[in-house]
Amino acid sequence: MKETEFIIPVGPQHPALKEPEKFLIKVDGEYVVDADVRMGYNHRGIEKAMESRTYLQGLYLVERICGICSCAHTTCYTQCIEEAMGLEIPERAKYIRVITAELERIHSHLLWLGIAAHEVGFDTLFFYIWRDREVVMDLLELISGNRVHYAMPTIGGVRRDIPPEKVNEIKKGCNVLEKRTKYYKELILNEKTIHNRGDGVGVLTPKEAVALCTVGPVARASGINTDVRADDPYLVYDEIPFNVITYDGCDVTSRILVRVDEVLESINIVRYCLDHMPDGPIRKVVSPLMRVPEAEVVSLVEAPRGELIHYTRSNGGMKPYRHKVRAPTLGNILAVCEMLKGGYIADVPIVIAGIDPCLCCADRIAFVDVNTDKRWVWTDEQLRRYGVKWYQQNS
Amino acid sequence: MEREDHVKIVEALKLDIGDENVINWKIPRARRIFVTVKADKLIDAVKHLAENGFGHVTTISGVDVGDGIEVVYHLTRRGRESITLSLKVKTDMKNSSLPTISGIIPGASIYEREVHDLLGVNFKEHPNLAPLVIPDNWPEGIRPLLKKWKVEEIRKRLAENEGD
Repeated sequence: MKETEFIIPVGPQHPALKEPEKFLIKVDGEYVVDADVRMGYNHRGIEKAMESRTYLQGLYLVERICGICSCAHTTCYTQCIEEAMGLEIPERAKYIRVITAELERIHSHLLWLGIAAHEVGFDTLFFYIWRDREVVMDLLELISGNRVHYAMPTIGGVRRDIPPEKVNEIKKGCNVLEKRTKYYKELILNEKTIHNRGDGVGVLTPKEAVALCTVGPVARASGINTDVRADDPYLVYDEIPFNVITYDGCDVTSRILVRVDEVLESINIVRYCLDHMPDGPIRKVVSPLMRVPEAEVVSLVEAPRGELIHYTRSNGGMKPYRHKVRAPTLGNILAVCEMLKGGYIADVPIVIAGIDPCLCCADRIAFVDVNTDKRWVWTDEQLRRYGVKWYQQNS
Repeated sequence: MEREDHVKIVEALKLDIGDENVINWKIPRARRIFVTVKADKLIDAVKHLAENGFGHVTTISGVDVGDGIEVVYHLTRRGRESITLSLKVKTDMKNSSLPTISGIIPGASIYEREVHDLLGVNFKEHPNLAPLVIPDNWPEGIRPLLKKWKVEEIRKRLAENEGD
């Protein structure tokens, strides 16, 4: 290590955080020269726990892997188990699963857009976006009764139907969301605050994105045309017209624009499903004590943050022999380490936030001067303010 | 029709690494292939697949199969009509070890670290096998996803550790 280099640990956690992680960031002056990661502060042993629970109990557990994309996990899990059982679910149930998943994507992306605005010191935008996000939260509550764990998909179909009067409510909500999201897109395209902090920041070249197996909106913002919904269609995605959004800026601005456009695509997918949903039953009843025949199944889903995989192996019993889950954030961790390299300390919060790990409220940030052993600790809030102030003075 | 393409992928792999080194394979449905190869042909198989489009590691799963650990590399050929090929190799339960594939696909390194933490598979020549998902004070030797470690036993050992 050069004499002028220092190591800054960022993280690991805050009680309010969804995914605590610690980044060890090596800096030379204002520049980040290297970054490493340490995870697992919230490893709950869910894969182990699933081995001692029935398939139906497992459903409740996977739903609680994540509070933001709970529906992505249950969608992935249920189709995994259904494929192992050779169970074909009713058409209407597939449409309802898609509607829930896309509403979830809208809420997740809007939540992230608000956070991104906050990280660059644009709190007005943060408050407006989160206010409008309440529209989609209300729609999710309307169809499921819940704001967080919607508990819609179940093995064999979905738990609740969407009756005609709710269809109208959802359409009205979609109109509001579309109008507001288009306004935000216009604003993001023209607002200097975003471009000053996002253009050319946290660059991930397409070559790096491929080599590091990057997934989801982060990969698409580096020009990689990949989306499980289009590439490996599940449920009824092969019947629904939609575009895979890519941008080739490879920076934070592109990651913002990909998500804004995806919100608009998701709104159209929801509308299409509401119009084309066939009548009929919504679930096939399965026994809570069902056995799954010997099988191994790989199930893939495009979660809001990217490709999500569930891999199950059953040996004919009532409990999975092994159930593996890989959530998209893990797939983007190596990429974020790469993005940080060569950037400024002031950009660390927005670059880390750029992959949407909901990590930006990392609790403490300790600075260590390795030459004099001088130490000081900043909270994430202080680092964020430092970033905002640094840009005010240097731009 | 699609299945024929899938069979060709397996045939090409067999041709490259040798018929006798492919233990078994199956195509349960469109866009899914499972292939088991001999552990000493892992690198050759991954090289062949990466060169033929399967350069995206979706994840790596480890499974305790009783008399050994099966490591499953879920490799995806991206693009429209993507295919996920799960490449399986088996290693001994004691001194389980495999060569790292991170030299061929850099993105694999984080998943190898995870499998090392949870099942104890030693990935030779891995750039950094430091703990990733298990805590710093994790009791020595417990690889939680091995079937021999019961949840109660792990809890007991963790409680003992707390007392230190």
